[in-house]
Amino acid sequence: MRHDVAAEGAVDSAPLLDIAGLRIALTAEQGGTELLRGVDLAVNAGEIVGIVGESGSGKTMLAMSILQLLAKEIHITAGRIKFSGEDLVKVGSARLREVRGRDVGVVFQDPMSALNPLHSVGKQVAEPLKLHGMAKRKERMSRAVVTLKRVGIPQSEERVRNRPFEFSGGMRQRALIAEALSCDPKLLIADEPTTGLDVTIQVQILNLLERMRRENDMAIILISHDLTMVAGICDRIVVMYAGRVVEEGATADVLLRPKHPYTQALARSMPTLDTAPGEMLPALPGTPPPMTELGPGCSFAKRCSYAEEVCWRSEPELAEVGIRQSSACWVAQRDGGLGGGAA
Amino acid sequence: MSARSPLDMTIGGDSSHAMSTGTLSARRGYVHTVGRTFAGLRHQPSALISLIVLCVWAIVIVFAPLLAPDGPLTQSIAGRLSPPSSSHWFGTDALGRDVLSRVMFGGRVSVPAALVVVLLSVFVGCTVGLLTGYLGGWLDDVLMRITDVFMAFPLILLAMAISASLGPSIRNGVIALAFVSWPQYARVTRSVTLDLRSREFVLASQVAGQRRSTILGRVIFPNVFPTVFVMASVDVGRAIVNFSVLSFIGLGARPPVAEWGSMVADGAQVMSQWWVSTFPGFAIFSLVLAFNFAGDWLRDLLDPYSRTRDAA
Amino acid sequence: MTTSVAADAKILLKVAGLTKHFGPRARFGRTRPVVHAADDVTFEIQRGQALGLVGESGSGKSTIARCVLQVESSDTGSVELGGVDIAGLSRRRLRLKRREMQAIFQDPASSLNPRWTIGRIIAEPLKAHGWSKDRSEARVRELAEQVGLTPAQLRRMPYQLSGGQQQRAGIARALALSPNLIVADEPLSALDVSIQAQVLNLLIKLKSEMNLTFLFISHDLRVTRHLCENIAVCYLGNIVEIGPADELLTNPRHPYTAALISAMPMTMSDVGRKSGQIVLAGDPPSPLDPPSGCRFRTRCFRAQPKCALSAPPLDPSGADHRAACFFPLEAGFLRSTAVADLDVNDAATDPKVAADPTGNRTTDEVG
Repeated sequence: MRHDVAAEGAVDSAPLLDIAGLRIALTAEQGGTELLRGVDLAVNAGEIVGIVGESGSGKTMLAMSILQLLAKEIHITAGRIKFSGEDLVKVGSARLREVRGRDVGVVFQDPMSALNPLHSVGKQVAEPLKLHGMAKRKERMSRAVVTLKRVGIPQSEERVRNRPFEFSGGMRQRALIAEALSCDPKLLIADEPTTGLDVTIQVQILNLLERMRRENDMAIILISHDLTMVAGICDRIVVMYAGRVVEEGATADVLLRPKHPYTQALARSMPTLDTAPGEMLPALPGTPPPMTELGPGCSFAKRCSYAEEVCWRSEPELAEVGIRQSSACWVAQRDGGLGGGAA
Repeated sequence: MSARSPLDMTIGGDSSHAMSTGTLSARRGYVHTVGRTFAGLRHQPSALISLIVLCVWAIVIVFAPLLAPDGPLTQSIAGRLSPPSSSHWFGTDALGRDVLSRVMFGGRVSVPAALVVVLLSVFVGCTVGLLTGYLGGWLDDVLMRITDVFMAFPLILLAMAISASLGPSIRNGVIALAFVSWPQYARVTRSVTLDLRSREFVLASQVAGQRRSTILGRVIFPNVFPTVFVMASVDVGRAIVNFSVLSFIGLGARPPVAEWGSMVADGAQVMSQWWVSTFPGFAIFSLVLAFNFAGDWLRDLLDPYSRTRDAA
Repeated sequence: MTTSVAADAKILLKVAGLTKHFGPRARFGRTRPVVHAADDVTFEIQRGQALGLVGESGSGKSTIARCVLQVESSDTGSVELGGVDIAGLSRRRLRLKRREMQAIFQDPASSLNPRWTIGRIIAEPLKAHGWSKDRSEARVRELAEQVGLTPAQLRRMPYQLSGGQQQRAGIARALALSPNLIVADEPLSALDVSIQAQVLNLLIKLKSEMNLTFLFISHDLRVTRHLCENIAVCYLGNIVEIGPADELLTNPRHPYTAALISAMPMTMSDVGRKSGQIVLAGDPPSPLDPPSGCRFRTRCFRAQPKCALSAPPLDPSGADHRAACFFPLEAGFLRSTAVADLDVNDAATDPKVAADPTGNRTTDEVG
């Protein structure tokens, strides 16, 4: 069982989202490979949690599974996903439809393709309202105008009738966020919301998300491959590798004092103003393993500079190492940390 | 990372791992894929049947002199317009000629004519398309307006007009049809070329210092070819019909040459003797369908992206 | 960047006054809108050094790269490679000159011909310049070893390799003719984070071993600084600041550079610190209709009426570190209290945007 993450001060007794032991696999006809291998995650109200991982780590699968949005060939084999006390794995489709859009909003990666080019932006932003009971069109449209204004789109009264192609990339992304927010959900899942956008626009979007959290006390799950970018607004970071959580903790702790070799190596391999220019970076060798080729030991052992005998024999579970920080590493658990520290 | 299916995203994050640890060389890999595709035919009955039909016709056409019971021109006025029987499987026509033999020999006119039409129009169309797509400029504007003009006409009428003015014969029929068919290939080739021209691997070839002709011939054309090939294979069926239409109205093959279109025309005058038109008509029908289905199957086979999916 | 005669021999690439506008031709009565992709771009790169060209979408950095590679022809300006102006060369001479200058592209999947084997892809430049089959094969094997590809991988097709391996193949191809200059267009952006470091290391190794000169295009300042001695910042077709990497990143003079720097945490201890971020107003203006005067003024937190009237030139003083701004930032600006939460939304820092006859975007409300 994962350790309890309680924010300082006021504490919600039960987390808003409580995922425990989640396992996801392909169907038998597709090979039955496991894609998520026992994930625990808890998100409290008003918290911003960053899920970081490279391609194949399972971070997007995790996000999709919360609202049961997985592809047909993928299904949940074990675990629970409790949202406000209700297990979404067990709940019926009618209730799921209620939750989707109203209690949990999602922003997907590609603003170009997530918006229907034929409908006005306002109509799409207001769509969740329509699905969740707001019948009158005029009412929905005026709510849409308000929401667009909240996300910082200027001249929203006119813009609400624009088509997506009339919006720039950054504005489209903001429109998508507006759509996700229209019913004032308690949880927002944002999957790579800034990938592909200009750096200065990324800053705007991240600031926007933080402002939304402040104003609405909304929890946000922010998924990204860019460790440093999202760290700016996240309270906590969860690092995923090969379908499991390998480290989690408060942002500063995870980045500056990582307790899993993967996180440490990743942080060290990034050039910063402190690294000597022109020097070889301590790059992480090799590539992430295919999910079909995982052995009995730790999935990271092949690339790990700390690997010991035990690491090849069995896979470590996520356990607390230090204050409010967990790591799935035998060495870290035994020594209370990693020798060497962060770069 | 480029968008991929949910499966691709998850299986090791990068589907290539499975292949890169194997020992398949590229050439063997290609043969392996082709072999697998032929094996997959079992699951695609329409493609399988069409390929069989095409093979049967190929044999019939090549070996007609050996297989046909009679010559195509052998008349027997006494036995004219007799229905299908054991001695004449497809019956006889108004001049007592064995319809079966004429259908078999007719294939030796219709099919090669259609093939030549397609080859000619592909050759001319692709060349024009490659040049206009790659070079652009005024050449592009001028040639595209010309193709616009062509495509504004109902092509078969234009072919008839050309054929009539040249004088009806098989050769002129072929020329007329090729003349009206090249614009579609030019269009398709040009649009594929335009798309490819902006792709990075073409840019890479330019940077490497390749000559333009080499880029067109070795980089762009091989990528154009599958699309064109599929178009052409379906087009053979259409060309057979078109040529038959020309012959039907007397502008292609002239009597007494056995050709399916003119045979249908002959039979139209003796409608109660249904076998005279029906069998050549059926020959056309079967070939057109076979080419269509085979073309579909080819397209699925040659699409490079479906090959990538297989590897995942 | 000295200008003495002796030093000129050390300058491998010299670009002066490069301008490229797309679409001013009218044909058959249509007029097309003009895209100001690059305007009066000037810079030099010394042999064995790397210049980072940094900017966002619409900055013109890709256009500049293409003009340097001569796959686009520039409207005006010169591109001198090893002292020879390649912009005016005949097609035949240009082909030969290409042996000295090669490129690495952003998306390895699309820059490798999907129908060719890796070996053939790497050998392409050699074949284009008439190398014999045997010599080619030997060279390809040599290159594969240098970039870390196995001989078996040479027989594979691109789709059978991972992104990092594909990019290595692209690098091998670029090195085939032993060029002096490599133009690298965002070579790391499409790669996973852990692979980026591997490929970056490879570039560093090759740069020092082969004394390569790089024109390195990127949007990531940290990666750029790691490889490049000098950095040029582009905005909407202009170079707005240019100078030695470390100097530029610690004491940026142009407000846009400062905004870019503040958008990416530059050190690990910066990460997670939320204050000190400069949030620019609105979206980058379209290169179809750039603002009058200084093109950055519509998003600038220091804009004054003067900025709308004329475009500030890149400081011609000949110093190493130059910026195109009438009101450049002071040294130490990034660390000063003036930048704490410089949010354009704040009333205290509201820029005075001059009345704008071209009707460009004004300050937006932004989070």
